[in-house]
Amino acid sequence: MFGGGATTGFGTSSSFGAVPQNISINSSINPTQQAQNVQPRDFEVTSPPDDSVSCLQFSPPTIPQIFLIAGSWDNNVRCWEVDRTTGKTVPKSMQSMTGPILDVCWSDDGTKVFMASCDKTVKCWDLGSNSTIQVAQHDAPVKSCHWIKAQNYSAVMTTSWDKMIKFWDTRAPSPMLQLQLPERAYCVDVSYPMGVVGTAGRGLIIYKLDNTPTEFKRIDSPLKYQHRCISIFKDKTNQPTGFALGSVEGRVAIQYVNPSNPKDNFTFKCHRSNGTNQGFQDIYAVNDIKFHPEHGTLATVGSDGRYSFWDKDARTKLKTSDQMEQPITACAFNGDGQIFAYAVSYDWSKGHEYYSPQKKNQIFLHPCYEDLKPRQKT
Amino acid sequence: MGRKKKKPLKPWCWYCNREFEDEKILIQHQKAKHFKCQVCHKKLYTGPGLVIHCMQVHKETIDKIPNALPHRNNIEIEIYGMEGIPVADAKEHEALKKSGGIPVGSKSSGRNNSSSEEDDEPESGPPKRVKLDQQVSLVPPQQQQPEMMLNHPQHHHQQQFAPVNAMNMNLAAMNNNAAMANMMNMTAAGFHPHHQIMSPQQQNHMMNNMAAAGMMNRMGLHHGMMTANPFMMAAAGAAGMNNAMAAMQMQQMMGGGGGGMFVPHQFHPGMQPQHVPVRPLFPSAAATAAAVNNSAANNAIDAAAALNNMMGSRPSATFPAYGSSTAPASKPVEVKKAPSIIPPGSGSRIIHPLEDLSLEQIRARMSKYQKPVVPSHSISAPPMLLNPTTAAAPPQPQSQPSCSAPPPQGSNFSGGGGNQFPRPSSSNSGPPVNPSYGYGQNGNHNPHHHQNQPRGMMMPRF
Repeated sequence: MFGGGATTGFGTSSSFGAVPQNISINSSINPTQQAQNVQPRDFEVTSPPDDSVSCLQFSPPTIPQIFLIAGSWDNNVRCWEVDRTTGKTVPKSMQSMTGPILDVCWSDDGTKVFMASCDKTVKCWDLGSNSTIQVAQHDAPVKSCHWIKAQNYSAVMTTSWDKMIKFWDTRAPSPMLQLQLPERAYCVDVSYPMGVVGTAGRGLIIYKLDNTPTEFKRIDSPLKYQHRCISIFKDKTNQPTGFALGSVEGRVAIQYVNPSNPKDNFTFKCHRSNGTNQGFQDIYAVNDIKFHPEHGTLATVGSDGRYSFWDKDARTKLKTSDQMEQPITACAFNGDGQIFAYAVSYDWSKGHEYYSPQKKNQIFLHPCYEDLKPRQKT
Repeated sequence: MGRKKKKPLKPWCWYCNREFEDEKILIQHQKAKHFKCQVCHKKLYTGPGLVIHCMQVHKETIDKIPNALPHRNNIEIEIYGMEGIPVADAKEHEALKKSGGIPVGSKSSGRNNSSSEEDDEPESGPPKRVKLDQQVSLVPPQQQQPEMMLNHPQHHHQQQFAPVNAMNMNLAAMNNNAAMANMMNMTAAGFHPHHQIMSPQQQNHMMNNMAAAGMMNRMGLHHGMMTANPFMMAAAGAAGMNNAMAAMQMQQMMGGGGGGMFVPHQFHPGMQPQHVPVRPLFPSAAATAAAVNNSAANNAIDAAAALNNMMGSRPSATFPAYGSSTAPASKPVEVKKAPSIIPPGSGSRIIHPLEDLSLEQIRARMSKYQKPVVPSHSISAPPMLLNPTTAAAPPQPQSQPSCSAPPPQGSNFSGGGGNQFPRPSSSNSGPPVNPSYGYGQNGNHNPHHHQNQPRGMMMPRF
């Protein structure tokens, strides 16, 4: 039923291409609220996790509804359905693992969710049957999981602090393939046929995932500090062409795999305090980077409790949010790029002394389509 | 008429297409109109120079050149007068001129150019050829010192410290108190540009370091080391001075030569998170102490250099974010088992634990997150090794709805009215707007409804 629903829904509810109509319709429906336009408040997701949010992912555009899943340090993965007209969220279900969740991902058809945990395993959550089953095992906490749909195989790619990448056919107890990493995996992104892993010790490795996954290239880090988050971006033909890499030193590098001009690669600063605090400028970690699925612009979130939107081609900042009470630990765009979700929770950047279990963990939804439009070129 | 005159084109401003009689005036115009910092009105030499200035001095990002035409407000392009204009634009302008067209914004030269605000800076300086975020070129030369010290324990080549040291020697000739007073005066007179304020703990530590370094040397040179790092004297309050005195007294008691062994435990890298490369520098300082005893003057230089580096009193303060991402110093750090994150410089600090581990790794060490928690409401799957065949069947479009799965129990997460996630919930508590969010019920979706939403989603609430 799951797949059936998805396939019938596909096409009928596709929102791509219908965008221009919507402005007029919505503004005519609701002119007063449009006119008010006073600092729109973002929508808070109901029943938030009990501990910090480590990862956020929206369901793929292959299913008509919008679901949001969030992994948390409270060992749970939660799923909400998001109503795209009202911004209302309805908690749907939750699954637990025996350690904090470090990463989640969807299968391409939106029927399953994979959950990577500090308990050194990855589980597959079949949403249709609401059951989970272990699909991967590492010798250390699993930092990432990504679903790969290639021409000749489907697999879950997992990376861990045990310095391994493993590819799992979800039905077999042992990995299809495993590759050694030079160091612990810290940040990973996959956009078939490209994969990229940032490791401890500022390692950076690009993988080619078609046919048999192989290491494609190791590159020197464009950054001088610990890698923290990474996100692949695509070119105009929708092929992965480079990535954005964020470090703990409030800086993001835009890096092309094969730059036509070395000057195409650049870095920019972000998530730093304005002015000084007791004589210091505070520099915060970049906790997450995501690219907008339509515009190709990007969002960064930081320990400073702000999110920012950027246009990497115009090399400009599009927007910075107000400062939240706590760091922003994760963010996500939904399939058609209308919704930007971000999680406000403690990220450990000031150590355990600043951890307060009483503080609320929050996830917000922000209507972002306009905010992320690229800077107009005149 | 009869002669074809080849009149050279007037200088023109790339940013606003204005023409000028003279390139000097053009440059004045650019500085006043396009390269002037909006915050402090300082006039920079190029667009990128302005961007860097704003980033470093005011921590503000500039995304376009002020007063420029919309298509000419690029902050990346480095233009100084007529230099640096993109060839295409130059040709276009030339063509436009020859065809008699008047570019937008073109006026006769220099109405504003003679205003008094033009005069507050020398015009003759070379343009700053620095690139945005190309940090390598921004690292001041002193950055190289840590590595030099590691490689060359003798340091005869570190001539850049010679002047300081000469002064030190003079001071050393005086008695202690007089020297101290002198140092205080010097620092009070604005000897250094740093505005860093140190915590008492840091001062304390710093003084200890000074004491430790001092033990390598003859007594008279201690003052030298202190003066070599005047900013820390300036920063130190009364408490710090007391510490310094105590340290000096201690040195006197210890005598001149035998203090090398005290060096190691005088440095406590872990206790001083704000210190600039304490760890990498420390071995070099220790090595210096052990290796060199023949030349007290050299020792003084070394120690002073080490202190300078440790205290972050390099001129890198003008480049707070980058200047100090010390490539040389990071090398020894990477070798270590538990490396620490190197603070970026005296003007800034990274909000991150000192350990160079990911936040997740640090957090996962907490006992709270290590004890295995028995999941209360998840359906645990059979271990995959025992039962691999049942694991995660491939997507089956025809599979039955979720009735087969036992519902989660005791979950406080069913805030939406107890809907099972996978259950087609046409019944009770779906959002009224969208009654059919269950899978397989997609036929109920009003396509029109969906099409209307993407742009306007959530808009009604605004």
